[in-house]
Amino acid sequence: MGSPNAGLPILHTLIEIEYRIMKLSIVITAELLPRFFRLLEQGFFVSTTTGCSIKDLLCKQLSIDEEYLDKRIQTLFLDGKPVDKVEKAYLHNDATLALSGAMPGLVGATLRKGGTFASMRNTISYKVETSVNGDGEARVKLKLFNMVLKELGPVFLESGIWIQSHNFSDFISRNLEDLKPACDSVDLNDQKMDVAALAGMTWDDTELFLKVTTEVSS
Amino acid sequence: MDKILRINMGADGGPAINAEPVGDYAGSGGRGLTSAIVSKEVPPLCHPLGEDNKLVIAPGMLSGSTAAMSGRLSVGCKSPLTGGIKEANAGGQPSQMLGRLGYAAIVLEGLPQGHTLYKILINKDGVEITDAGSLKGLGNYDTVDKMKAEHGEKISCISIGQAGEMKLAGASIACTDMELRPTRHAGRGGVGAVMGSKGVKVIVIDDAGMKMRQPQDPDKFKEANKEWVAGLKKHPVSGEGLPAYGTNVLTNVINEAGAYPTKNFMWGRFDNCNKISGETQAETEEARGGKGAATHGCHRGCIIRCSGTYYNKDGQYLTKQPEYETVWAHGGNCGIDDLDAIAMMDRLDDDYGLDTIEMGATIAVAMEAGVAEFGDAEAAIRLIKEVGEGTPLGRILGSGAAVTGKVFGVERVPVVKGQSMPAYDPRGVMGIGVTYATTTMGADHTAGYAVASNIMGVGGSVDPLKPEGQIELSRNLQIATAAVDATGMCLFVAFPVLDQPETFQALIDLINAFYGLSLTADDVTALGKSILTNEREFNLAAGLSSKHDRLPEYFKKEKLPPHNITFQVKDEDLDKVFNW
Repeated sequence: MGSPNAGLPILHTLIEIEYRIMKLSIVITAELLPRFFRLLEQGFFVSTTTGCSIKDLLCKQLSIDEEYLDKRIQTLFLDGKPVDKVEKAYLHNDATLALSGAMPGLVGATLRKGGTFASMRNTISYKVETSVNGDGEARVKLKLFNMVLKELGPVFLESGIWIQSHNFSDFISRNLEDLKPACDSVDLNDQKMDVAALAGMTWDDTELFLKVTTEVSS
Repeated sequence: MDKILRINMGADGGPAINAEPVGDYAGSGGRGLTSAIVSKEVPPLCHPLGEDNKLVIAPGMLSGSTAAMSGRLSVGCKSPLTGGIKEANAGGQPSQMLGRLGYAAIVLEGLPQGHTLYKILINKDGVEITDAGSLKGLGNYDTVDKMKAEHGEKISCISIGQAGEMKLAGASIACTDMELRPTRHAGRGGVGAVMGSKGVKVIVIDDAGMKMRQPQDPDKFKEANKEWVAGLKKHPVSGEGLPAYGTNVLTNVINEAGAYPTKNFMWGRFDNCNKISGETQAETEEARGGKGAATHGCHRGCIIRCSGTYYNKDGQYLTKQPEYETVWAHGGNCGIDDLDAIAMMDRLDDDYGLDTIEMGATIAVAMEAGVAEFGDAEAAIRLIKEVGEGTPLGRILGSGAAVTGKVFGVERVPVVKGQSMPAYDPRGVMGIGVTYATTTMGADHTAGYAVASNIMGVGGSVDPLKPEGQIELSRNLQIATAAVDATGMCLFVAFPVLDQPETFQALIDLINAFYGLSLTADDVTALGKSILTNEREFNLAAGLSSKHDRLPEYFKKEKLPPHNITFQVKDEDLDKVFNW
């Protein structure tokens, strides 16, 4: 099985917040990178086209290896509905797509894509009811959980993600003390600032474009 | 394991000990043995706290051997909570030690005279029963500390806390883990109350001087165990997900599915679930306890290591890593999103000896009744302390969700046969609802576990999209689970066994090599069926009929957001589960 995304180097990730389209860059120690995974759990936004299949979004657009999708992303939800066939599940504007590894227990097995016990959750399973028009733009919220979060999280943080400001505000206030000694630099729209200042800022109900860079541990 | 230890707690002159050959029960273990003894020897109409009930403690068929994952202990009786047969299951060390001491089961019988509390010590020299008055009123942690001081650190303990002493229907039985902490519980169905009724506070097990149980065919056993371990390690669930995040890995996923019972089963999603997710919990544990804190095996021989250790903000041990069920019961189901508060509640449950599922469900019912506010963690902690202190309110709460609902006039009480539902809403996953309704145990999520796929025909022969398909699935899963429970294997072997036919074959090979048998998958199915038949017949004789194989009515009427669905499986279909 290939690596989740062999194309991206995983050395530096910058948190970039563009002002007005807020762009924040933070360089941190590698040990603190997983703290930012909470934001990926809560969800971040990607743009695609309506009618795009989950498989096409993940593999063609986001460059996730097909084998990784097949073998590691064992549980998926589209708007809360377990998905069995990723090539026949289509995205619409404001869709929520959640990705997870294989889950334990009977219910975990039941939710698994194409699993033996899928019928036990038949009433909530994703079903294609109508064809989805492929002409428009779609903004999709993507959530990552457990092993998929651990494996794909650094890749997405490095590329940059759109998140809701209030989630970031909450994140900063809860993690500030641990981030202070671990931050090498913070850039807000190309202006250097102290990480503590982030906690003091008023965040509108807007969105941030966030990239995270880690220093390579020597 | 060629003997059964029977102790008549009500004999003249004090408890009478009798170690007898297994006799007709030979070749049985775990749930197979507890259910066989209870169904054969306990009058189904007896009072669960009376002299005719029996508490049967049985290691699995492979416990005490070197088979990986074989350390589960079964505890059986007539349940004070459901009124039917009960098997509660726990990890920890006692099963392995009892197996090595040669005991297929301990059976506590009769009722002690007076209110004497006893300690039972079992070692290679035999059995000794002494007065345990000095332990009266102690929690499980203090009890175990005293046993450690008296008997050393190589023992294991099976004990009850204050809840069991008070014979509360939500009382559990604690088993110590590898660190000699009372963190693994035979939780469900009030088994702790039965142990309390027998006047037994603690059973101390010391297997010093005993060796591992030896298989009939050591070479085949070794080969099968190697294959078994390889299968468990290579699977992403047993080899990665559970060791990294524990069972609480399920929180985000079940929540996303809209099947996460929230605020007493009002909704299927909890907005703040990622504050209490397995991912957040693992990170918290490692930040406070160091790398590896989130990975821990509950018994020697466990290679999945789904447990962990939870430290408080000062870096001191607080409790074992709370399980998904506990985090849900005390968390989302009560509207609470504070992991530290949930961990404290887990600690209190373990110490007082309470089923965390029942306790959490009960608090949520109490919240619906207005006894506390949803989301008030401090109030929830206070309510658990009331149970441990034995206040009138505490005694109500400690008797479970059904009693609490009745006392406070709450309609929405999520129980089947008096036992609270676990952490999956049956409206979201109807198949689990079929299992909740029909299992012999009351609402139980582990009674219908996945064990094998095509090999055991678990998928059945009926179109799975039809209601009959769900019935067949639940039936076959219950059969398969009962068989696994007899071996002493942890149920988390289920996923690798399901996915990897060679791993399921390795399990059968282990049993065959150990006992010198030639079992096939059909034989394992037959074992599961015979266990369920025993249990079903007991329940019928105890007065539990098909009308008890139902979910509460409101699950059929009340739509669950976000999918806005109700439980749709018909009663006449539920009645087909045990048609074989």
